[in-house]
Amino acid sequence: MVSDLEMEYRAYTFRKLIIIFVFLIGIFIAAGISLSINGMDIGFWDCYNYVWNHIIGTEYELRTPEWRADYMLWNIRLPRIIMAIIVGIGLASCGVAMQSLMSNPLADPYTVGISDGACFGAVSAIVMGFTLTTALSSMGVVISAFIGGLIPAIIIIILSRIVNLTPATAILVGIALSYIFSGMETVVMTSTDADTLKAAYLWQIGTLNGATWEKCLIPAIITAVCSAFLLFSSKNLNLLVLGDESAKSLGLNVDQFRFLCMIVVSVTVAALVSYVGIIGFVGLIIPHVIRMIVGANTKFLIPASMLGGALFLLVADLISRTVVYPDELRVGLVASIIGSPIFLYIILKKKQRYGEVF
Amino acid sequence: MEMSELESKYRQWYSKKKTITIALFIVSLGLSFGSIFIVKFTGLTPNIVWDIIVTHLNGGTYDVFYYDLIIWEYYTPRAIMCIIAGAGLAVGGAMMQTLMRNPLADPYTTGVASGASFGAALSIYLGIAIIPTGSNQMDITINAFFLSLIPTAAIVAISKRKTITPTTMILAGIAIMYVFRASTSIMTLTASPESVESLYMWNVGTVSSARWDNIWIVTITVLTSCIGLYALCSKVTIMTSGDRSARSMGVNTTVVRVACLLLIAFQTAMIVSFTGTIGFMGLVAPHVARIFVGSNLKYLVPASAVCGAFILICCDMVAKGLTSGLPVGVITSVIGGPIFIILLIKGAKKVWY
Repeated sequence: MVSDLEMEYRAYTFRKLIIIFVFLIGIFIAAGISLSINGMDIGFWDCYNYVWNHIIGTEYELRTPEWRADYMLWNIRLPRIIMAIIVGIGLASCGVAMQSLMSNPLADPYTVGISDGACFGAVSAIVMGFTLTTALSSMGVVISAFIGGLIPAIIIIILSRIVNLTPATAILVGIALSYIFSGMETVVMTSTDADTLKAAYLWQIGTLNGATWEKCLIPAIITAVCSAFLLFSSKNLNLLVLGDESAKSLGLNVDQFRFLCMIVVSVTVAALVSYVGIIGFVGLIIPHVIRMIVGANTKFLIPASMLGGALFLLVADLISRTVVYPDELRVGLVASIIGSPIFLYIILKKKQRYGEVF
Repeated sequence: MEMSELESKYRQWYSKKKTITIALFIVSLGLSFGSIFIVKFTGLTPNIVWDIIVTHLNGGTYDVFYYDLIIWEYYTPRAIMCIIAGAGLAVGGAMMQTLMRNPLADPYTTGVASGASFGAALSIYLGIAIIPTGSNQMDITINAFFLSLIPTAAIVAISKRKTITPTTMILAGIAIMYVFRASTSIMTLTASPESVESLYMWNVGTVSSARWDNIWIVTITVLTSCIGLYALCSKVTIMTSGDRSARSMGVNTTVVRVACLLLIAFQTAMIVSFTGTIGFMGLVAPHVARIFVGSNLKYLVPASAVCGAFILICCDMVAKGLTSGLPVGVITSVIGGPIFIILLIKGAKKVWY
């Protein structure tokens, strides 16, 4: 016999699963459209056909139209789509994690100063003479951004081990760190010439342009590890939202868990930022939008946010490629410009009061 | 009637706070006067600086033109600007944090800075001026002022809805901020490197653009709106207990909130359009003040104002004295940041919650 309550709970779970499934279909469609805008008149299904054939190892004769199509789709279009999905998943899930860890709805993946640290690293590298044109020197910028991004995170993590930081204080320390780094960045920026300044300034605006399979590799591995970790620890994240005291009384080692989460999130975000620059909107707003749709239970919130983030970034990238074709805007800009009105609309249409109790 | 023990304790506590605030106020005024004497210019000894100030206070002009220009036309307004901008940003921050019930809020939370930067970009990149004045600098300032009010206007427009909470209001502010920032960046993609540089420099907060002919308007705006905010602060303190309880105590929450937002936006816009975005001040000064006087706005607002003025004047002294003309916004971040972290760790166990 199944009780009414249990039935109701199953129906509730089922609804959440449907939403997640809808996001998956959305990603499939958006990726397909993105593939089929290729300037070669290859349709939606044909594109997936080519991708499938490549996966099962079909070889084409050199320089035939099929070979060219396969090369284009597999080596140029697909890495960019994969990168959009990776970054969307990573940023959105880290956003959820950070908001739970800090118990603050304004927290986002960059709250502990990772973005400003990474900018400082990248900008110093660019000013010191690394350029983004050659592979080696572009790697120099990436590494320098990654290290720069980890510095503020490491400081916060160490501080929170030495002194007992409350989440509110930890955020303030994070903001202070990000101001310190952006101040130093300004010092570096003002000491350089106008052209370098522009190059450095543009680095900060997130872009997926120039993604290759090699560049996807490291972000993919790190994001996969991070996602797996967050999915498995979603129960603990739920407990954290109740407040540290209650979480402790329910048997969670709060300090250790927070420490672990912070490390995972920081490494992931630093890696993503150093490859694609700063893509703002996703990590803050997507978790909120998804929370309004599926509720605050992290068990559903995290997977739904991942897929939502991926879908959103895919669509933003699609628009950024097509709207001023053959030129392109940057995905970070498009994400802000299309995301904000949608978000405002959702806030205004919302019937219940949101965020009263976070 | 004899005072009860509790009351005398409270009085004592209150007078201690008052003493701290007044003492810090006097120190900041002294420092700001002292900062005029920090001159990296051979020949300008403190004696001459003193002479120049005395001459001007008596209505005359000093006879060495350049000395007179530097001390009276540049450095004196600059010292005043530090006091005014510091106090204005800090009061805005304190009110905003309490109003939004979030320790991360600052006067720029509603998107003022991004609007201002967008306005400046319109003028620098595209040469569009809302009110063409013929002067480049003036065009930028006017653009920045008007456009920085747009995000707040949008927030005020949506804040009347019943379903809006402080959290959604901040999030809406951030969303609008993203739009403005992205629009600025889109213009940046195609702009010439030189104009990107000048926009970047405009954005970095600096007080060196203060002159006698712009300081008065900033001063009047900031003073008026600070007085207005102080008058509202008992109501805002009540509102921290939640909108419903505040309404049951007779506070018209919507009106108070809109009035506060408008006052904050107005003074912040004025400050930003003349100084650029001096980050960190509006966030940190209230928190530092909170460490000393607690979270009751009646004490927090004056204490924040004094703290803000004090911090900005100190940073400007460092900028003038120790560096070769770094903007004060950099100093507030690079020096203020670590000090703030130390304060947070040492003193602030229960600063916020």
